[in-house]
Amino acid sequence: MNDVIPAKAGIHWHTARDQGSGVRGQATPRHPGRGTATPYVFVLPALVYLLFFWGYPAGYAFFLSLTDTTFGPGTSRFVGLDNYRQLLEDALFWTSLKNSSVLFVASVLLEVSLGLAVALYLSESGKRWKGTLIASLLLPWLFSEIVTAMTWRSIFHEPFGLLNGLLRQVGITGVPWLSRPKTALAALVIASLWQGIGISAMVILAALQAIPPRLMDLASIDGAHGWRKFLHVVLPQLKTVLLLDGMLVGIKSLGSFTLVFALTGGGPGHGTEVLATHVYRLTFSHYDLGHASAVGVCLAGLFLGLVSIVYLLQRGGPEPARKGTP
Amino acid sequence: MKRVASSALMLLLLAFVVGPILWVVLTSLKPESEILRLPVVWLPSSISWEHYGSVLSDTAVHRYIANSLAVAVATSALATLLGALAAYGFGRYRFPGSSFLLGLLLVVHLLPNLVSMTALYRICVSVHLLNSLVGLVLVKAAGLSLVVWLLKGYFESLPPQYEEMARVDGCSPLGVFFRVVVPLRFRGILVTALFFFAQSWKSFFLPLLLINRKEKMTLPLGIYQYVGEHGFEIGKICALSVVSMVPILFLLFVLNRIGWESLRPSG
Repeated sequence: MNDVIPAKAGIHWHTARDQGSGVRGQATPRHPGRGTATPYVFVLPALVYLLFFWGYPAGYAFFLSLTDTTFGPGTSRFVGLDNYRQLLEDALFWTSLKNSSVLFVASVLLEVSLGLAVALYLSESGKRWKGTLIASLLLPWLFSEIVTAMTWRSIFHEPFGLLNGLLRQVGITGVPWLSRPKTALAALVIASLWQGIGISAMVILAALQAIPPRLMDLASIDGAHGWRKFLHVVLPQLKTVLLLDGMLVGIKSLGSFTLVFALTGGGPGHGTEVLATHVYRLTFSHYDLGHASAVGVCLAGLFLGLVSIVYLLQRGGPEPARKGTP
Repeated sequence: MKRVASSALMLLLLAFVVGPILWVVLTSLKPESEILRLPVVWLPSSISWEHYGSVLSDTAVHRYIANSLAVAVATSALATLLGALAAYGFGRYRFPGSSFLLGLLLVVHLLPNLVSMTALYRICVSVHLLNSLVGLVLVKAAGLSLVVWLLKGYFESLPPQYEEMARVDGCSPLGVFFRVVVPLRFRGILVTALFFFAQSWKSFFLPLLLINRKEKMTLPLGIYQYVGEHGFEIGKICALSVVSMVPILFLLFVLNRIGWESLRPSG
């Protein structure tokens, strides 16, 4: 849903702090008597707000996952880790975990590699169509995910959809894309790629353009060209951004609810159920709030795991060259 | 040769991205009889506005659009106000726990409220914020950590002399912010607000979770209504999808005029 910004945020993550500290140093004129309370005047409203509207629901979700709460009047008993134990026996949980993982791996691989290809193509030369190309590639990302879902639903529709219409012209008749688990999952990957490729390319392109030209010239002098230059000079420079981009795509695909909900509805059967839709179904069809929250907590765990892994990886990696060249 | 190959590949990719949008626009302009015909009709024989007519004359759709606009404006204003204040606090002052809090804000941003949907729903039921546009705004504005991260570097890059002069003249910290920083950094704040507006305009999940009465629905939910009721009404869905794209395209145009660049920390 909102994937470009963490990219920016992520980049700030390790540059702005260093870059800004100097400015901040001079810009903290401490007035006697006004002193240390001042920053809190600015940051407290937002923090208190987040505590109420983000922290409280998150904490409450964790609490719910330890109870057997249902809707309506009734008891809500503390059951410890029972809900988590139940997850092990919940076949649908494993199905949705599997589908989420498939979506995750396929989206990350496709969107990062194709995004890199597009970024390299765009950076290569000053083309007249560059602006138009960028704008067109970004369009799907700007529209609502419900529009994405509806668009692809009308394309995969059998018999009146675009894709089967094209296939019929070359003699292949009616593939029921959305009513077979495997093709339905592929449909989700394709729709998600359609939506994400532009922004993925933009994130990588920004880093590509930040590679100091001097470095490229040096590489050329040393005799590195084409493929070797890409492999030994460009790719190491892009390591951090590729990791970040992969994380963003991964976060998007782990959290993809709307696309699955409105394109396949988790079907056929439960063939494309993912973790997010599973939580929704458990809440609103089974009224099993405890169990649903437990799945939600697991999903949160996956998010946090992903973010920490990426954080550790990028901290361990080589420093981006940007820092050395003011 | 290599150039030709890579250009061909890009063209294919462009077709993959733009083709579906064209398909939706064309479908929305086909008469119903041509949508449900085999073999598939590529270009409508004549442009038909019937789907736009039936969708746009529906008072329910007027409601969806008005609700979406109201929610997006309110959410964006609330989040930008709170977020910009915090961004300034984090950008200009260093205090105990500030970098920890910033990291926390990033985690908050990266963790969608999807994971706590059950709790969120139950809380909203208990405080009577279900089926309430106010409730939707309040929950949606919790995405303000995005604003903080967007604007922090932007405020940091402002030369501090202006603020010092205002302080010497006896302005309070909040006064400095509203009278000096906001006017000097208005463009970036506006871009952020517009961005947040678009985020809210697009959003489907939170409205789905918190709203189930038709008169409170937003446009994305409204589009989804045409899926269930009488089967999958492709023509109307496509027309309404195009309608929902219009404000985004308009924003894109405005942002292009203002310039994305204004958000660069070095600006």
